[in-house]
Amino acid sequence: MTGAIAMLRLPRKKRAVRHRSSKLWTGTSILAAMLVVGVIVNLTADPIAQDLTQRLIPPSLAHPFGTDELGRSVLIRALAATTLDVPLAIGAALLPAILGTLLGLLAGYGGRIADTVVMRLGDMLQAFPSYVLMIVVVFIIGPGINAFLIAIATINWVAYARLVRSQVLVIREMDYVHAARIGGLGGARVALRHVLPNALPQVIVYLAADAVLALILLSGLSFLGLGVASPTPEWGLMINQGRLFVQSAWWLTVFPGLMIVIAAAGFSLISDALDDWSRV
Amino acid sequence: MSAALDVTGLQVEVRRGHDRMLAVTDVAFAVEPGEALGIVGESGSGKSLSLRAVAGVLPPGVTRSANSLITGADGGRMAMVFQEPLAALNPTRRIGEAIADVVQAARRCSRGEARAAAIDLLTEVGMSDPVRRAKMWPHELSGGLRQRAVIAMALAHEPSVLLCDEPTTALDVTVQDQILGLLDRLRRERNVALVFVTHDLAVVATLCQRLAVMYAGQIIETGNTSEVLRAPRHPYTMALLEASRTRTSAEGARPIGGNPPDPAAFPAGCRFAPRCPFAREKCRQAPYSLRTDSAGRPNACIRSDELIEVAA
Amino acid sequence: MSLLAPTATTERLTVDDLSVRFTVGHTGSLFRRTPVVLKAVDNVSIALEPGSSLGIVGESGSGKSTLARAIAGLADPTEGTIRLGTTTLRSRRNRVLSRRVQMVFQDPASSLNPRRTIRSMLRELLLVHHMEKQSTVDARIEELVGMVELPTSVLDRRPRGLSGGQRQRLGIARALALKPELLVLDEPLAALDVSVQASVLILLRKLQAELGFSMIFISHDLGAVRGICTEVAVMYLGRIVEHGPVRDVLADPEHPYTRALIAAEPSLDNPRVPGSSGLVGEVPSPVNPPSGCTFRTRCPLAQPACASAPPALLAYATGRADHRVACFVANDEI
Repeated sequence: MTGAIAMLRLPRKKRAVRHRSSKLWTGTSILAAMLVVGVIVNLTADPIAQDLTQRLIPPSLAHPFGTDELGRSVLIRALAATTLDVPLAIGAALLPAILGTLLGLLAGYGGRIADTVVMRLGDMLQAFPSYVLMIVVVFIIGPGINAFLIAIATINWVAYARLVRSQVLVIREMDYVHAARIGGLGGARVALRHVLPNALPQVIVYLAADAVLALILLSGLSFLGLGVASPTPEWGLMINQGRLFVQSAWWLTVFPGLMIVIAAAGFSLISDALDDWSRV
Repeated sequence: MSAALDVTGLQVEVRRGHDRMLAVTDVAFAVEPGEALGIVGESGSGKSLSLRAVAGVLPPGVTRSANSLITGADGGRMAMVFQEPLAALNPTRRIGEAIADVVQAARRCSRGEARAAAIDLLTEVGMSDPVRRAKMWPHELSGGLRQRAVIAMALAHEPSVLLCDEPTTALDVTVQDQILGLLDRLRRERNVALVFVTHDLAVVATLCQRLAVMYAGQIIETGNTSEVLRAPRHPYTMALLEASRTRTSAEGARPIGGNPPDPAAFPAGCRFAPRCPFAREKCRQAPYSLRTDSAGRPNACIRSDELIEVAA
Repeated sequence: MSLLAPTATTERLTVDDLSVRFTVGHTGSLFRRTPVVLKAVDNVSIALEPGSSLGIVGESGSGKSTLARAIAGLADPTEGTIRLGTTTLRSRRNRVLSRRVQMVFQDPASSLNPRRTIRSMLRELLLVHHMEKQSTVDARIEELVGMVELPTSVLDRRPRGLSGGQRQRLGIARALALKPELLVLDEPLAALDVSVQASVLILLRKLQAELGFSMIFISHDLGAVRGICTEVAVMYLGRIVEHGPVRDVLADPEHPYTRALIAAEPSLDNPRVPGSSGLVGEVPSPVNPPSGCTFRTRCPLAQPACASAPPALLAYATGRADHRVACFVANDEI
């Protein structure tokens, strides 16, 4: 049966590719569209402009998302925040991914001592609730984007390291790795050019999903007042500032929240598509 | 008719997305109690799919067509033994308990009786020290012992037919010999019918009284094992025998040229014609029919009578 | 220098008293833990003349794969030495040394890097070893692929779309790219369809004749060994129990295990009664092998004295210096 099914696999490829890339296309289009709109909005409108005569107006034709307590258009601010939030989410997922991947590769391939050191370090970090740690780091460095990125990189790498390490432990027993070693290729070359590329697909999938979480994390930190500072438009910050009015002016929190959801959907679709791709 | 298992009109359809293809067509065979039938073919011939279709254990997307008729003797049961025993044994269940589960379900007896029966079955399949072994986990056993445990579990059903899908392919040769000996003994002692799917002609020669050769989803020759192997009537059987015999010879092997056809595009007429050295134009139009030729030998080659001189 | 020219010098492979042991766990209480040791290879000695081919036959647990890996440099010998000519081979080999012994792996599904094209894999090998320059490497790669009878179109593909037979040929091409003196093949045919096995075997024979490398061919398949090797060693639980010319050992086996192995092989034209090979029981665990002759627990000729010490590989049973057996009974030592 294995033989028969193997032969029958041939026609599948054409259809599968089309199906896969539609998810990728949709997800990327969503994010790309958001970014393009955000850039345009930032260039043409002023998200900080206040108009105290227009405070707290519910959604209307003139202000589709309503206005906030300082008369600023929620629509303009929500769209403008895209250029900050989306790249930041990507970066906030990318940094720990890079750090974690390298450390995971080291742990999995670099010998028992490296493995022990990296893993125990990871254990220690994970013993603390990550949110608390991040708050501490941001608090020490001072609120702002840089602090946020440093905090997230130094705390979130552990999951990536574990993921890569477990992949590497399997891959390094594969015959093609043995063949590379017997072929006289040096350790670093084998690790970086033979082992790592085969561990990356999983990382990429995780990364795309992590971007969603990073986004929410940033929003959460801003919500707590430790992320971006007012008056910069940022979804979490907008939600934070709007929570005082959650019952009377629901549009202050709902629309930024909606933007988060849409961006998260975009990332999820991409992550899902990459997952399909990695399974080939 | 007292056949332990009678299969007619077996078709297996494989669905992939919008593509549907018949991977097995017109397969029919019967097995008497106490007889071993070997189903031989290369990978892709449909032999495993056919067996699984009979057992009813096809993977998702693969279905047995409604016209297939599978009948057995009244009250007869089928049990199956797979190639990979680890897949058939629950890793979280000690083997004695796993066998007792089956016994209890089949006989509706008490747990104590089921456990005792499990020990008896383990003894019957030749496992030494059965009481100790019954307490072991599947991963603690070697391949041969695992396969014995699987056979014991299959026997717990009191089957009249034992379906075996390459059960010895993954085993060492001395262990394979032991398992073949076990299956042969069970066939004789329990009068159970055996259907044994394999790619190894030598194994069929050793264990089975009759064989059926499959190619591209069809049975192209059947008969008594010794007769078929001594004097094959279908060109594919001839080529397969030649390839097996010369597989590792120092003078040079004679593998079969070309490749088996893709089920998505089976040729019309004889499916072996593109690779057959004796093919004629009429072969590409002749519909499939397994008929008994002038020498009394069932095969699907319309030229088999003409080819007698060639094979001699 | 053309790839098709024979290897410059092939030297003799000498393996002396090689043992490979692994610690697979610990028993005992928390403070008095004793390691559980698995003797995969136990005191094996081999001498392989340049250009000849040795088949190593055995079943699961025989240690044949570990032996192959030790010779190829993938496993650390615990005791004993491996030498090519006068050079000792340890498991950590420098680049020059790594060229001399190469390996072909069993499983075509995992022996090629799924993320790389064949071309990039071969280029890397040849360039890193400075065997070719950027300008000449592609021509050499095409020659290599032609040598294993594949079209150059496979070069720009990834392993995924290739058949088992094609991948195995590429594994051979990769191994031969560095012009090794010794090729170690670990069950190279086991994962291939029967019809494909023949063509790969023919290819190996042809390549050895043309290029002159020595070969160690690990297999559980006596037929394949018969087809390609000049001598054969039969292994059981880490030891060689019989060693001699292929024809002799397979026609006139002296060791009871070899006999059982041959008897157990199903025969197409002379089928034996199933189960008649006479071997009872299971292979003992390599962690706790029987004392003395490890085969005695399943041996039809076993005597009490067989438990005293491991039998040596001697030629008394056969009277021929090149055909040796490790059996007290066969050698009339009991």
